[in-house]
Amino acid sequence: MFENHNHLAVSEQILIRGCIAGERSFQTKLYDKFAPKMLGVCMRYARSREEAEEILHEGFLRVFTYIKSFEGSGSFEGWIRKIMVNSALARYRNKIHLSPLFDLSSSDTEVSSSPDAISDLSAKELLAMVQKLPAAYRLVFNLHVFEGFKHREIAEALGISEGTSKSNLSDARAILQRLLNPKKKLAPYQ
Amino acid sequence: MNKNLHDIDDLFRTSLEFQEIIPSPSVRDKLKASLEKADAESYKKSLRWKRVAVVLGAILFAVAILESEIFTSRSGRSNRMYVVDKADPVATNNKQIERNENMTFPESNRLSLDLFKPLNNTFIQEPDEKKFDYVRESTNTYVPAHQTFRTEKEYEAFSLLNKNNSPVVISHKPFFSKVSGDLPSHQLKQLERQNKNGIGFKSHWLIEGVFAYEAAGYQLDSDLPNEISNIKHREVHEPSYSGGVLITRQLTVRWGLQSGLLFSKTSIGIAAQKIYAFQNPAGDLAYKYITSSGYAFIKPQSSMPSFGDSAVATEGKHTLRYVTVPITIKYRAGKNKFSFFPGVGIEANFLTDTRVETEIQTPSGNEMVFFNELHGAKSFYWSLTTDAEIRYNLNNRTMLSFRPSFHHAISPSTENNIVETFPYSFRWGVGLTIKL
Repeated sequence: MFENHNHLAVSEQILIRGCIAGERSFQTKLYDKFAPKMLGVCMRYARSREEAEEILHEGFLRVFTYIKSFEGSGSFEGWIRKIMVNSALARYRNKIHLSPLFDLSSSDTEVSSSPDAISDLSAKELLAMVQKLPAAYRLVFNLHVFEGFKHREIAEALGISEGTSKSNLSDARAILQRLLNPKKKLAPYQ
Repeated sequence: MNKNLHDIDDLFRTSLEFQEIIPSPSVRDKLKASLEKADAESYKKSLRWKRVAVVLGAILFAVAILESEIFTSRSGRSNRMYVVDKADPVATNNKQIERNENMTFPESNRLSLDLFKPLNNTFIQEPDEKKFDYVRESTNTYVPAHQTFRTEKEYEAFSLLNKNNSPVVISHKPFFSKVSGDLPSHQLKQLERQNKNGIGFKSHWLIEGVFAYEAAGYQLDSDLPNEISNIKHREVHEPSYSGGVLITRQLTVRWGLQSGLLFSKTSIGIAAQKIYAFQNPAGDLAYKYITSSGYAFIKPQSSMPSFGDSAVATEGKHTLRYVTVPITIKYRAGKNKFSFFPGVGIEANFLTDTRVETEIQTPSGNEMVFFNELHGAKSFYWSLTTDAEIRYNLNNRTMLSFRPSFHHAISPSTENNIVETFPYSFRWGVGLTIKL
């Protein structure tokens, strides 16, 4: 099986082999190597750090359960990332049909609108803005912007129509823009 | 599209795409605990199948031992032989039969004393060549132990098939039940008894595919009568099904031993109930959902419960799947088109899968919950079974069967649950049996 993994680093091959054998020490090493990156992914899909860590936990459980099925045809990190995204989708999929409610007046993440100020925004602040989005908008925004999904693919993944996907993306952008420029009025989200 | 919107995409992508955040140490500990648990589950599952294999192996071993015992006792009975003088082709008179207890012969060449002795004075008749032409033709026939013939045609067929196959010539005509018209009634009865006891019977295998509709229920036991009452009011058994393969070793004409593998699925509907938050084995707070088959912890995704919190679980359902290995003693009554096969036995039931599905009401709306683990459900329990199978012979090898049966647990299917559950079920099954 591992003969085909020539493009993978040797250390990664050894890690995968150890995890397939169920060796706890290898599983720990694999977790230590990828958990910080994957928590970064999960944080964007979750509303809070607690939820993100639960998604991370479920995702790694799936990784260790299905690692035998990793064919080695692509990047191992990409495979893990896909599992994390699917875990997040499974968690929020049943909520995306609820009509999103978003109250900008209660937002505490508003920042000044000057271009310099926006560029100075920390990743933490931007992440907080994404997390403030309703689940339906957050999923579509993440899938489109970070995973590069087209609206047709998003519609399939979430069980919604392409039109809903486009509309949710547009609304998500509008909300984020408002959060970035609180004093500026935007047409799409009135 | 608005350029600002693309700028927003870029801004978030560049800032967050490769962001790394160190998880809290509790995630690693929790993951480790979950992996340990998954390993234990997987080990338990493999152990379950090993147990099934051991039980089946033990049954097969017992059948083999039992059968060899029966075979030995039959062989012992047929050690005393009568050898018929080869030189006299029509030596059917019992006076000419020599007794030789020391000689041994291959099994196929033996003539059982039991077959002849009780009847020899009157039953074996003087040859009458005019009446029994086949006597002369059959002088090269070798009669195996316990072989009897009900009609002359049967004997003729046997003679044709077995001619010239043995170095020992038995030159008499075996008796026929047909020619026993002149026999005294007590000897006739003796002959009938011999036939009933299966002289000439060969043990054989029967394989049967069965499918059954199941009306299931349970008997609950607890020190808390209110809990029994609550659960009984909440739960309703739904129609369930079972199916599998049964193998019967017909040891004698009347008695057989049956075993096999049966797969059953039992579904129980659960009415709405209020559930309360407790600490689960992992140390988290979750709502405890109690059923007659065990309990589960529900952690809503939308809101974490606190101590003392309650929630409403709407109607739900839990499904249990078992693999059952029965061992049943079967008695056969009737030899015609219809035969009756009542049986009684014991079953080992191995839990292979549980699934609970319900919906809980949370402040942010209803949330569907599925889980595959029921705490307090035992992986194994014993039950007694009795059935009244009726078979209809389609031909010599194939039979259709109808088998009503009753099964009742003799050990509880739960442990450490609020109630002890003893499942029972009535099954109405149909099957197709093939004689191997």
